[in-house]
Amino acid sequence: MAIDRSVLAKLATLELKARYIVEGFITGMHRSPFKGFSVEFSQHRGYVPGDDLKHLDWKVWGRNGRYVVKQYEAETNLVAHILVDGSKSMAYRGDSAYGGMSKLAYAQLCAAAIAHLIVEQSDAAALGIIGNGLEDYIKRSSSKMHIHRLIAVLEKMQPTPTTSIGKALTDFASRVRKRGIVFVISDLFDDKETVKKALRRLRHDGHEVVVLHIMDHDELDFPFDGMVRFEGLEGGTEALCHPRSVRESYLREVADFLTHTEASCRGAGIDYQRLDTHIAVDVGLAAYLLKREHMATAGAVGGVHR
Amino acid sequence: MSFLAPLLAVFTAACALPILIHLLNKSRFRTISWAAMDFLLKTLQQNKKRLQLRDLLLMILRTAVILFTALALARPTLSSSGLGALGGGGSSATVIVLDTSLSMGAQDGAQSRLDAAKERAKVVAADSARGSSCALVLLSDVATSELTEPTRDMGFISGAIERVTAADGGTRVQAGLAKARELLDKAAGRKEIVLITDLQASGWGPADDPAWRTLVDDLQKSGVNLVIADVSHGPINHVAIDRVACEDDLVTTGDTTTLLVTLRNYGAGVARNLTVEALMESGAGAKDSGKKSSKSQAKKVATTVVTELAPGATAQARLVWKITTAGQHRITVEITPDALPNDHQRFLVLDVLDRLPVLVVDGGVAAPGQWTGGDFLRAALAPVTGDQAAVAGTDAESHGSMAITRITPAELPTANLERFRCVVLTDLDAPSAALADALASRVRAGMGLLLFPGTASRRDEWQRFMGERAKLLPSPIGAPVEHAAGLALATDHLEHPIVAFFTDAEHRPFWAAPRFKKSFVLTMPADDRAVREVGRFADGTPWCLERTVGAGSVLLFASPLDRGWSDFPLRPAFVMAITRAVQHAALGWSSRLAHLTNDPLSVEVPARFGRARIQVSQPDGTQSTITPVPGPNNTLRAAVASTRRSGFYRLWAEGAGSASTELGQFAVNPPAQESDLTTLTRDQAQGRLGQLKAAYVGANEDAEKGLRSSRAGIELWPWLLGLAIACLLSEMFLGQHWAPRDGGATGANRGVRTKSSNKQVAA
Repeated sequence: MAIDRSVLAKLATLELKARYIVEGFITGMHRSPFKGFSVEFSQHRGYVPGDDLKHLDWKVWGRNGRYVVKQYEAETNLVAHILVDGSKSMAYRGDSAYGGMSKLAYAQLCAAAIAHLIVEQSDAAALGIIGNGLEDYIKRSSSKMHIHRLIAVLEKMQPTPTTSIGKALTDFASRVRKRGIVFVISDLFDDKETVKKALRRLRHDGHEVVVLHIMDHDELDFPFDGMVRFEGLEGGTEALCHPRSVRESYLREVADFLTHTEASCRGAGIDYQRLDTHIAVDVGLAAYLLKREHMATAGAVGGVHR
Repeated sequence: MSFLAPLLAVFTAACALPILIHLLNKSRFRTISWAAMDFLLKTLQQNKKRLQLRDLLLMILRTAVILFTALALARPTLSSSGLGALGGGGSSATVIVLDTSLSMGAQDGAQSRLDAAKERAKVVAADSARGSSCALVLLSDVATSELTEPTRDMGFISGAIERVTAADGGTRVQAGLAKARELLDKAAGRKEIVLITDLQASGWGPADDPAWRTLVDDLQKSGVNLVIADVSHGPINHVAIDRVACEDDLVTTGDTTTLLVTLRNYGAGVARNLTVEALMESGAGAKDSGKKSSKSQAKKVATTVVTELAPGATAQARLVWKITTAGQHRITVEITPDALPNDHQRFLVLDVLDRLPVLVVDGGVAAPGQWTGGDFLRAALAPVTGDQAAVAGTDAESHGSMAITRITPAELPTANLERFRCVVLTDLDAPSAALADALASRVRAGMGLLLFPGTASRRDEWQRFMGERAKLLPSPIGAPVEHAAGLALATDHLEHPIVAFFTDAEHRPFWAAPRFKKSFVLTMPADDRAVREVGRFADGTPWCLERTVGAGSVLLFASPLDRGWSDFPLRPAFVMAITRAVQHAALGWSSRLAHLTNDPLSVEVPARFGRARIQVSQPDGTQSTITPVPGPNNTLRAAVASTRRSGFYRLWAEGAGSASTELGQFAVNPPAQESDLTTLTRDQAQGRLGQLKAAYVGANEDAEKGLRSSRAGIELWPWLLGLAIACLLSEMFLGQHWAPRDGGATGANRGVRTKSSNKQVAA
């Protein structure tokens, strides 16, 4: 990968960071990970090197010896709905977080990078903020200028004290009929069943759903020592304890949560990727995209339902 | 339980440290704004009780580590005498009761028991904790101490122990413990008594003696720690002279003197060819004649050999010789010295007379051909042959060992009572006040007085002058009682020296023969220790009572020497009894010349010497002076308080110029039971102590170690240190076990890529 992280860290704006990331990992990929999903056949076009041989129309080659590939209607008008969790819990920033980023900043960068990636390949991207419902929803567009609007919204977003991921996803499902890829970027700290139900509904509506589960490394490792008073970011709760004495039990709880969430997603055909904030954004995204590329090659990626 | 280093017990206060640290930690925390509160709260809720229990257990263990360590530093001890006094600190008040009795002179190998005891006493004093106090009590028949309360000057105690010398007294553990208890009353803190003794059985009173029980109970209740250090190394073979006595009270220059020497073999083997010698020193002699070893002035006067003496057996040796000069003679009887010094010698002061002067005041009027009481007395006390009677006058018979002078009551006011050693009043109608006073004065000076009230006696006058005024009567003289069938003398209760002669089967019939038709009723006083029963009638009423008055004694008989009252004067028992009665009354005081060690000696100082200082010569050759003190009846008395050593003690007063007047000389002997070296076992000693638990240090045990552990009891610090280490290890193990492991089963990390794995992925 060609990304220089020291450069990335010095970039001031979210847009620049996103672009830098996208340009970095796009050059390392053979093809777009968000193309060739199971959509309707549209026309043939001549084969060019780099095209997936899976899409080569062998019947045409058999009849007249020409190499053509099938083109699908959806390929040309992919819509990526990027939903970013704006809850207070996303404001947590651990000491070991990459670039000193909070989960929210990490999610923002992920969202910006994905938006760049989508728009760069002439597809449409939309953005919604998960608050106490779906907020600041920016409709889809594939124009280059659209990316500036999306990033501006991302940069302006502030943590919301009260959020409901389930309600926001339900709002989204009700409002948006155009099927596409729905990126849910969140720590999913909400009622498990509600979230699960909302994600299943999105899937049922024919969207391809990708959950980017953002977790701070502290939340996964609970590395604290000494007497600590924990104050809930979403207010109202606090606990005084010696973290080392409860670490094991806490980690078991978190592991159960993560396992349950991942299993629920997999069970519903939802693409799940956990992102640890102490891992660089580009590394986390690239890992996911590479995995997705391999899965697409193997035909294992669930497409957008008709 | 007590502490050897109580100051270090202050570190137990450090037990509060874990609690303080816990509270401090609770107040010193950092605040983290946390996102995943639900997981944390759920975790805390689920683990609340478990965590509290863990915290509590760990805190208890940490506290216990500090507590046990601090206690171990303070060196707590559990007294083997039970719980003892709790606390009291490391300083203690110790009374060392050092047995200095004769038995402690026994040689166990190269060292005497007393030397071993002194070494142990020094260890006790040296081992006392800083700030402790100590006192030394010397124990024999009596217990003495130079101090009135324990002192912190251990140098003084060490010096006092060094100065201790053997005494020849007996052992009376009760006295030692009582003295120690008295000294400890004034001391504060932990109290202990260290009794260093040879555990000689005869020195321990019976366990059920009320005074002993009271003392032991008192010691137990006051929490006194008792340590008994034994210094005896088992039995010792030795032979002792148990007793030396003159065969007769009356020793005259005309008769041979016979000493009866009782030897006892205390060893396990047969003793053979024991040479018994009598050494005699006569007259006032040199003023240092009290010195036992001044044999150059003593002359061997008799020797005998006991050829064989079985183990545990006694033998009586007779030493016979004739003393030709009247006066006091100092007799030393000895055998060859053995492993127990000072019981191979016995001492005796013999008062030898030419004849015993006796005055008989006869108030009886006899019919022709009949004898009065005076006649019977003369016949019994100075038997003469017919030829002698023809030559002798009727008023003074100077035959045999007694010189009898008979007078009538009318002649009594002009009689010189100081000439006589004994006065007999028979059938006197009524004594005058002057007579009563004169008799009382003489009796107090040592004269004997025999009273035979008769038919004509006015009992009220006797009671008035002889009883109430002169306080000579042992009992009021009751009205006469007739015994129609004739009353016999009781043949039991014949303990008094006058009648003890009749206890054996050969002589008892003589005592049973007399019959009494009448007798005065005498009453034995219930609470007058000066009165003693000599003999009794078969009906239990007294026949004769004795009252000790000063140095002399008075014998009151219930029946006169009158045939109308009894046939006693005609019986052989009369001669035997009256002779002994006169000798006893006249010379009984001479037995008081023989004393046991630690008995006080006392003599009357003639008024002419006033408060002049009295010289005392002691057995070890030293001389001291004492000042006379007022005694009863306006007399002056000189008393020697300390008679620790056996031998002769002489008292004399320096008169004008270089002349000196002998006031008295005494023979002091150790108690015979002190020669019996039978010792108590620990169990037997503990049995005597009852509930008062004592710690024991055997003679063969290391003195320092044994005494230290016995004084302190069982040291608990090794156990406490073990407990502290166990608690520490438990705390470490549990702390480690319960602590989260950094590389452990962190379920949340499963499936989370690490930085290194990400690098691999990126690569």
